[in-house]
Amino acid sequence: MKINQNKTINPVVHFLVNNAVPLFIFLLVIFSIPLSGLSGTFLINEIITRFSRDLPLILALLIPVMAGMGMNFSIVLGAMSGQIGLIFLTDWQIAGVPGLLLAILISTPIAVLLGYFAGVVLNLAKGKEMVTGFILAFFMDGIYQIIVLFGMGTVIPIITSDILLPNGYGVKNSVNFIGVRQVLEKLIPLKIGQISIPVGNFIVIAILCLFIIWLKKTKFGQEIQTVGNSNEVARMSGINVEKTRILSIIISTVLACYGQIIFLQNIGTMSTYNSHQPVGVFAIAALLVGGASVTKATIPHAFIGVILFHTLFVVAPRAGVTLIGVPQLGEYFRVFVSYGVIALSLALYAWRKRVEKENERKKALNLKRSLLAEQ
Amino acid sequence: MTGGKYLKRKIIIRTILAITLILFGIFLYVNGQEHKLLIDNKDIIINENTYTADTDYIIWLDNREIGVIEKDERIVAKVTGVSHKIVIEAINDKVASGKKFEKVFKFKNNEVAVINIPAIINDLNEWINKSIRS
Amino acid sequence: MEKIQKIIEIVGLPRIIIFLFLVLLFVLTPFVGIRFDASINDVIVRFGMNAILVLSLVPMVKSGCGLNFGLQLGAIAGILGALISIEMNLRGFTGFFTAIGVGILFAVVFGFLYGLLLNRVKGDEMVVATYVGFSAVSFMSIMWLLLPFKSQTMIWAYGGTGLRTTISNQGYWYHILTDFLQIKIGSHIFFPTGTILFFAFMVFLVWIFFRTKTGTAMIIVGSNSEYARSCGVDVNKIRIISVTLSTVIAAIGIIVYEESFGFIQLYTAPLLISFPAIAALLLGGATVKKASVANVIIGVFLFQSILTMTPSVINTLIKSNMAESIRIIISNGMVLYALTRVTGGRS
Repeated sequence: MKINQNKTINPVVHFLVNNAVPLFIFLLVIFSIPLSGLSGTFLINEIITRFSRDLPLILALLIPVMAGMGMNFSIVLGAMSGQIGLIFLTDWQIAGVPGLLLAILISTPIAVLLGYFAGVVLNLAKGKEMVTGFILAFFMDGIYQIIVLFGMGTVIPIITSDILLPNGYGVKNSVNFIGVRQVLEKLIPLKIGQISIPVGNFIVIAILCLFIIWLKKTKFGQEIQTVGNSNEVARMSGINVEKTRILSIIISTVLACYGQIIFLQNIGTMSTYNSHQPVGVFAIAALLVGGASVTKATIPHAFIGVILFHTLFVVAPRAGVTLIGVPQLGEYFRVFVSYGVIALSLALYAWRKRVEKENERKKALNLKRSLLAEQ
Repeated sequence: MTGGKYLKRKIIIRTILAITLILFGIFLYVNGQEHKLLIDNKDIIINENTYTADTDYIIWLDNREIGVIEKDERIVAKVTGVSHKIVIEAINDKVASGKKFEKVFKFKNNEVAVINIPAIINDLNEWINKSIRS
Repeated sequence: MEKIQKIIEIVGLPRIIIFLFLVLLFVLTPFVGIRFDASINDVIVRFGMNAILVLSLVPMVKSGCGLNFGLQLGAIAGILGALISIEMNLRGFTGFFTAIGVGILFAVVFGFLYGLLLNRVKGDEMVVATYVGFSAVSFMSIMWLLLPFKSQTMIWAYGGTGLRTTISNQGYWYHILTDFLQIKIGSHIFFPTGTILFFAFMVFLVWIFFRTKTGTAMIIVGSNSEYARSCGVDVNKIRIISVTLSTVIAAIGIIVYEESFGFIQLYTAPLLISFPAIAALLLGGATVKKASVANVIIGVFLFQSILTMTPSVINTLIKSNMAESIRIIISNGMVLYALTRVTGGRS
């Protein structure tokens, strides 16, 4: 494929290529909305709910991208920490805002520990962070199972036998959070016409965004970005690259922990052994749909991504049923879109990277030739 | 870069922070725990004396009206935290009697309680029965 | 002493540790009430099941395309072959070889397209391949619901739509290789001569291939693509051939797996199929740039042994049902270990 580097690329074409994925998903959404047969109010309520519920997890992905570690699949470890906190919460029957605060208090140390472990492992697999993070999530899933299915009720004392399995140990497959259900949403309820706005959630999201913006401006934030731009340059400036990378994964894991707690308190129940599994893929796919790439992800990307991605999740399966008529399609379609988006984004990104490298090489070659010709 | 003096200060600050968080956690735990409360408007036998439930009552828990309990009924309530107050007022022939009874009680960790109304009316010590939940 | 140190350096300390751990497990078997020869039988059977899939990784490594995280594409081709063979109601060896034949046809098409894609993303093949593989499995999950298969053994009964999640090949070509010339050793060892012979045959084909002109060109492309280009080799074409070859062998591999296992697994079952295969290959001594048949044999043996032995021994030691969770930890742990060791240079 030849690209003539003398011609300046048409800005429209440039915009289209750079934002291919979000535009494509946007078209899919526009196409599916009328086919789905869902009313406007219902749709808006759904989008607002999913926005307030799913955004924090996506925000957790931003810091590792800054550090040049790509899309952090090991946020699943953060989700697991949050779930363990919520299990204890339910066991101790702590309700309301104190309940949420306590869940955060308990799960944060766990998230820090798991994040540290993830950071160390990812440092050993430089260049392959995404795949390693993906496998790490599965690995930790096994350990989570051992702790929750065999440790709780035996080595770890559980008081409420209600949440245990019939044989006396191991947490049940489905745990209800009656005490902390929808705590954030009910905190400051606001209703405009038929549309409910969860002000509590929005405030939390605002705090998270402010935290990320503030972090970027601190010295540590600058260090993270330097590491993300170039490990060698960072090392020469005296930055401890390994430690910075580990810390950025820890922050990401902790934010994901909070994100999962926010997510689960909204839904009100947890599928103990399954709720954490799709967290990584869905959050990353959403972020990529918002126009982010492996090297650049910002808060606007997260916002756009969550709206587009989750709208698609709501409308497309129903549109599919209208078109083809098979109900199970919905679930597989969601998974396919998630993986497909990631594959497409990665492929486009890798292809563009190569083309740019080729252009650089050709430019250098031409420069050399013209210099030689002048002699 | 960090001398011994700074390191010691860092450790002390972090220990204080950790202890504060743990204390805060305990505070949340104690004050945030939900306790199940059963309220019985049923006959009760204490020391071979039977105290009967005669009529319906309005119930306030922590200054909030939670409803009416009928004769021979048991209702379930959940309260958060340690100290609580229950106020009951008898209803005779669909009219509130105006006579209120008030009792205060405290929960320890993981406790649940059963409150008996006739026992309250007769000012018995056994008006509340606490146990550890399972 | 120095000679022992030399051996440790060549074989690699982790590999030795794993081997010793394996020996320990085997020694423990009689003490925990598991039959030693039954365990050996399990290991041999699992070796036969998985070896060809791992073998399929070799061409792509040799040509410099890296580890084939998109193994799923080959698996899907093989599954399609198996399904069509059953749909046509073919039994015995006819059914088996039809499955392979149709599988190869699909694999060539998939492999070609896959190769084109990988040529466009040189340097990032592995990551892109991973998600292309996942997307393909998810896409086929939709297809399994919609494709017009009619065979009663394959579709949901009583008015459901689409293919079942697991389809039995019993009565068609189940164990067709395993039972072929089967040798019974003692009471618990049923040596699957057919499967092992088939694997040996595949190894032979691969060995011959890498002695042909194309095969040699592939090795050169893998070790130094610039030099290959200067020799007049069409690097892109060779890479596509290697990807197609890998996909074809993978298609054959999954059919052999199904032959031994007894079921064709659809929907999300093939999702993670690349990871254990890659872990096994790396465990056998391969790297991102170098892989040989020896790596395949050693790796599959070690990996499958650990996977079979550890849960059963631990289960009886701790007397609970942790087997599944432990299997997850070990399998993914080994892939993690392999990923963190692959620095692109020497193993």
